[in-house]
Amino acid sequence: MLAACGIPMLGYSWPEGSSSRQTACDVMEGARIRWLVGYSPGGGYDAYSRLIEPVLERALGAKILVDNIPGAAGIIAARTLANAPADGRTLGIIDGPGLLLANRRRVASAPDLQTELVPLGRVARLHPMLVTAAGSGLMTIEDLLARARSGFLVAGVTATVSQNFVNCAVSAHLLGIDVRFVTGFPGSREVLLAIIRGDLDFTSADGESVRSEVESEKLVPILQIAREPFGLYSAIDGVPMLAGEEGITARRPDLFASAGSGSREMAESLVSFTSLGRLLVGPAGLPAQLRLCLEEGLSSALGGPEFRASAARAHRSLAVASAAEVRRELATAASAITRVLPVVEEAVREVR
Amino acid sequence: MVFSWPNILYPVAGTLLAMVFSFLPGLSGVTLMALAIPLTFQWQPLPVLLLFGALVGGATFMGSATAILLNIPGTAPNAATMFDGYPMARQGRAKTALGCSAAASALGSTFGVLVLVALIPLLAVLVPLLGPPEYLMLAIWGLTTIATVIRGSVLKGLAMAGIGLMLSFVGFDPRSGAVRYDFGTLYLQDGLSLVPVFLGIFAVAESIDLMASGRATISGSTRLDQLGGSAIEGVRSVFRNFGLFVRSSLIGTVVGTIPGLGGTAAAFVAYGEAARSAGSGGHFGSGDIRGVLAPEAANDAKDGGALLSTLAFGLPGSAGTALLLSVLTLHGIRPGEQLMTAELPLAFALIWSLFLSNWLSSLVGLSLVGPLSRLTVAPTSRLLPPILVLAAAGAFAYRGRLADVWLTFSFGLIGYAMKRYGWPRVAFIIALVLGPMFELNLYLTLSLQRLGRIQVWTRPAFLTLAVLLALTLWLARSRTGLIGRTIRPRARSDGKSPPKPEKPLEGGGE
Repeated sequence: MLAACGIPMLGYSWPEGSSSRQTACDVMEGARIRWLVGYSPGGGYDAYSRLIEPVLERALGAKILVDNIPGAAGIIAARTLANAPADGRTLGIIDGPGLLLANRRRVASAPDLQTELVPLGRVARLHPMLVTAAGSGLMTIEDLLARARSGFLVAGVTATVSQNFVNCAVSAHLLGIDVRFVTGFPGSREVLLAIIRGDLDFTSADGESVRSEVESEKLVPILQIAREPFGLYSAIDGVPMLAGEEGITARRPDLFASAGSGSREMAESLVSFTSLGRLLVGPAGLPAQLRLCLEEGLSSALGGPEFRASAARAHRSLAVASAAEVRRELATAASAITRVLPVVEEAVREVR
Repeated sequence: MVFSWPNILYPVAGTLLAMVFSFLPGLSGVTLMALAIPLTFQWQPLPVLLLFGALVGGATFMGSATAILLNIPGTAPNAATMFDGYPMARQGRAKTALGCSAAASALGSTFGVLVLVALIPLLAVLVPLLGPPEYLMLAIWGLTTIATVIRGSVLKGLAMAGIGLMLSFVGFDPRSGAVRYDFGTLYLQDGLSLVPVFLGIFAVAESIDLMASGRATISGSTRLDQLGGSAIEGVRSVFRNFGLFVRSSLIGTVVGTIPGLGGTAAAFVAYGEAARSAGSGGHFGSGDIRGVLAPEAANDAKDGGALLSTLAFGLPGSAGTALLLSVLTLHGIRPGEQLMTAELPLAFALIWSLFLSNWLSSLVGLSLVGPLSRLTVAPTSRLLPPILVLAAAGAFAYRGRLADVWLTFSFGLIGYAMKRYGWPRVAFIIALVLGPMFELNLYLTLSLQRLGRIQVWTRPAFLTLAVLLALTLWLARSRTGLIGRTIRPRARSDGKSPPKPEKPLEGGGE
């Protein structure tokens, strides 16, 4: 289907073995693919899935059914995906850092991203930022530190298995801030409302999801959990980054004195972990030719102008990566999580 | 904009499609919305909003029709309608119940939409006023209704409420994130799914009961002209109980703003409030028309509340508005300040489409009262197999999990045993529905209070709800006491003397 339609294969060629791959692709023609999403409709994972659905259908010649299986921070869908037959009929989108964290923290049923699932590509990165309320007087990291000197700060998250919890816990550890967590909010929007109401001091949120609130000056971004500026919109230009040569851990080591000499490494590890992004995966054990067919199908679908136009219209940023790139980043992230995990475990113990 | 040609086609088509879909249990308007998303991907935003507004609003009435006629809730929020709607059908008064449901739906949605339109300028101020303490108070309000709806043994009622609460805690602990009572299975990690439980405990249990009782038809009559009541009588009952209608619609609008649980909780809280405010003068659970009016008004009014939080904050209050949010984002429309100011005409197109579809579905529903009520005179030998198949299909279609079908039939057997031996199912269901809302918001409220971030006694919305709760409890108590001392059983709210409850209902203690 792909070659027959003359669709350009971004970053791929059709060398030896292409005929068996073509056979594998022919198998997918007319097939029904169940596309699992571990979150409810209305959120980012659902939106990306519905953007991918029509272009991937055309690329593979298959029929895709988006199936939302919300619950347990996406773990139920990920487990369902990992248990599905490796025949290409069940694929899905996952929160890479979230699943990696859940598995490393031995959350029941969370599949291992490296052995029980196989990455087929990435559609977008996340853009985690620490945010405060406009009326809180916490406009910068320095304000946060000043407030912390007079007592503890309160952060809110949905769950201790969320990557927003990791972002808040590790950032607080680096800054030497005493933080009390309120967990269990039903969703990230509820956390943001609690921030705006003044019930909480800060949280971590995706920069893209809070654009309205930031542009309308209800929320204030004070730190980008990144090495380079997200550059999503002008209101977050100039917000300091955590890691990298231009990051605040490199330029203002005095702010991170309490974390000791390892603060830069810790910050780099956090960014490596969070930048894994929204991954497209299938169950482990996919036959090699079928896996290549699916990788190429996704690459073709996500690289096309139609998908890019749809994503732009939906105000969704893209950071498309091939399966090979994702595997490399996954190895880095898996190593990075081991560095931040003790800090996270300590924060979890305090919550309990 | 909405009523011009060809724009009017979208809400009309959307409403009719949603009505057909929502008549099939499990295949609600939400299913239709999910199917329509890819088809409308290339459309302009206006027709998309008109279509999806209608899909949100058009589904509710038909879901209540199956609840009344077959004891099968079309969607989870329709479950509360079964408590009195189905007994009315068994008494041969299905037409009255359907008429009441249609009128309460149309007027309830109007109430919700009017509140939404009136509050648009104040949204930014009002919605943040509702936080965990206020949601906690609403959950307590709902749970206290268990005391009102229990018939027969109080001990049995409290036991069922306790079991309902226990089962509602299956799944993730909101505080620690640890999984509870899952017995090592993935299926139970996200808690018990409400729809299969509802289908089992009512539709399947009732089918078993019909089989066991040897009853010839649901209504006991074999001819349509033997049925009592009429659709007009049902419509009139809404105006006869206008105070209750307003209270129920208000509850629906407020509770509808709660993300996730809004619709279902709204209907149950309104039902409980109706039962409580009636005191000893009601015969809730045995076919009281007010038990249909209250949840139906709340269920449709909740769309206004759910839309309120969806449009202003991107917080969907129901499954329908969650998919609507998905559609909005796919078409580049961001909920929040921009939608409520620069793109306000689009927001209004959505609101009017919702309004139109609610009325249209109720009018079409009224015209179908006659044909629909034929189901209650159909021989049970022919009706029961399709009911059981529909229950199984509905359970499977809900999430595509075979385990949900097993859950449905397991709860079918449990529900039959509850009914047979007088363990009240209503108390169990109310606790199961409101348990998670109670637990989560109790924990959040206590955490924030302990950390000194909120003071519940300084929050106007919390105080208002607390006073209202205390007042309604006091009124219910004083009415009960008064009636017990001096007042004889009074005439029914629809002007007729109360029917003698059927034996199975007495046995059910409901």
